[in-house]
Amino acid sequence: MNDRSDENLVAASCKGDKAAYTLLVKRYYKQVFIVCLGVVGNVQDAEDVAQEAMLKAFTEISRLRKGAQFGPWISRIAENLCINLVRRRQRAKRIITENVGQPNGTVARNESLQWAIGKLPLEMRLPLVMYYLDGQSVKVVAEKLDMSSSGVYLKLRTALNELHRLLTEHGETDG
Amino acid sequence: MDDPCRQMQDLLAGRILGLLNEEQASVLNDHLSRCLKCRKYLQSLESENRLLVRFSENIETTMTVRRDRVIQALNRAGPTTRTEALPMWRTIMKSKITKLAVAAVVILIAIFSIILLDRSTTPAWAIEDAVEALDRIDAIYLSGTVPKLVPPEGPEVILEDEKISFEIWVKANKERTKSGNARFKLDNGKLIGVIYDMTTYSYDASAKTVLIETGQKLTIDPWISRELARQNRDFQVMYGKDPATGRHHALVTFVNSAQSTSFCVEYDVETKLPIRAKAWPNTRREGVPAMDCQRHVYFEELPDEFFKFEIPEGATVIDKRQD
Repeated sequence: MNDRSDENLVAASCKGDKAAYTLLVKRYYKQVFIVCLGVVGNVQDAEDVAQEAMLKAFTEISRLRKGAQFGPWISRIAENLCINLVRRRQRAKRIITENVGQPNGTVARNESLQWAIGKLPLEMRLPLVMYYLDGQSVKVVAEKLDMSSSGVYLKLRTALNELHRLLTEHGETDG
Repeated sequence: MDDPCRQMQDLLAGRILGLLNEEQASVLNDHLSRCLKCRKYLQSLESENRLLVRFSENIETTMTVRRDRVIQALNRAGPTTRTEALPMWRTIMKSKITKLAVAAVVILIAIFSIILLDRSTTPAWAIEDAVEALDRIDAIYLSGTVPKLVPPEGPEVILEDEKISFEIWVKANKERTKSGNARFKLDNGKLIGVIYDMTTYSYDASAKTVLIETGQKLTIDPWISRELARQNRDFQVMYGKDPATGRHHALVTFVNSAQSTSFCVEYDVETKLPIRAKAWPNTRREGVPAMDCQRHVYFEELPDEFFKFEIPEGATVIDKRQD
């Protein structure tokens, strides 16, 4: 990974340097994608919004005063884009999980899991997705969500039990 | 599942997460040795944990492909028109009162589209005429909404549906260079206040507390001026009929280059009064408006007594005025 600082890359990106911004994309794409998946609850939408966030941030990057804050800034942009998307869908009464459809026994288990993740409340889904996709560390999730470790642990515990309930109700657990 | 088993669910999930202390682990193991249902529950959780790990691994292996698609899209995009940093929009985050000041500045800028309703005028002439007409204005009342939250570095993506209502009466200072006395009401009266004689009084209704501070915590700077007017460009006017009322109305759109802000102001053609105004924190009228003003009233004179503040009964007063 290139060792240029975020500040340096942001300053260059402000002048339209796409190569510099590409390095920021490489550095932060995963973080952005995880946030998107945690909010919207399905991979396809998460990919679309993560791309939109990264491209939007490039056009708006000159508004960022402290280059070192690029990580939290881009995450916040992604999160807000996701929340707007979810709300627009709710307004249209097309709740996000209905798009995925309720799985049955013939549906691949991976799809069932995605469906169940999508059904979790946001306050459980985001920590759960971050935990599994970002190194399975409660401390890391707590820092990124600005929560206490015990708070994250409680959310994760509840999320696991809720996920079990959803999958069991649809006959998708092999326990 | 029996009640004692329900109590074990959290410990079982904790075990999956590897976060049980010795005592909890011992209690759980003791229970598991006696309870078939909980052993099955644990097996299910372990199975789901494996699913989650595999799901994460699948995503991880395709992450680079996804990331590269973004880089390709970035390279396909032409040179971007980057906006300069916007001090005015940045301040919107600081406090509810500054949000209000920003909204008011934006509305003052919006006022300069009024005179364009006369189809024969050109923008340059119209601005001069508007400034002259507005020179008589002593105070303005505005009401509408501003976003509740915006990202810390600016309004790049504003959350929809989270708005704060505002009402403000604001009067020019003696020199007419900026605002002086003001009265405001925010968030359906949760915060009300007055600026009078260079002192700010604000009442937080939920805490029943009045804060008194030296200085104007809400300043609209500049007041109506030619300089402010000349920042507006790219005017377009569309005429039509309001389907609800049948009245002729006009939509005026324009851009304020100094603040990188775009506007859409709707006027009643007959009265020439603005019906509503919206402003976006970009020059393309894209995304969620950062200000939505539903009502403007102009006063040729508003007495200073209107801005005097009375401390509500039972309120705690925190006086932070400097001696």
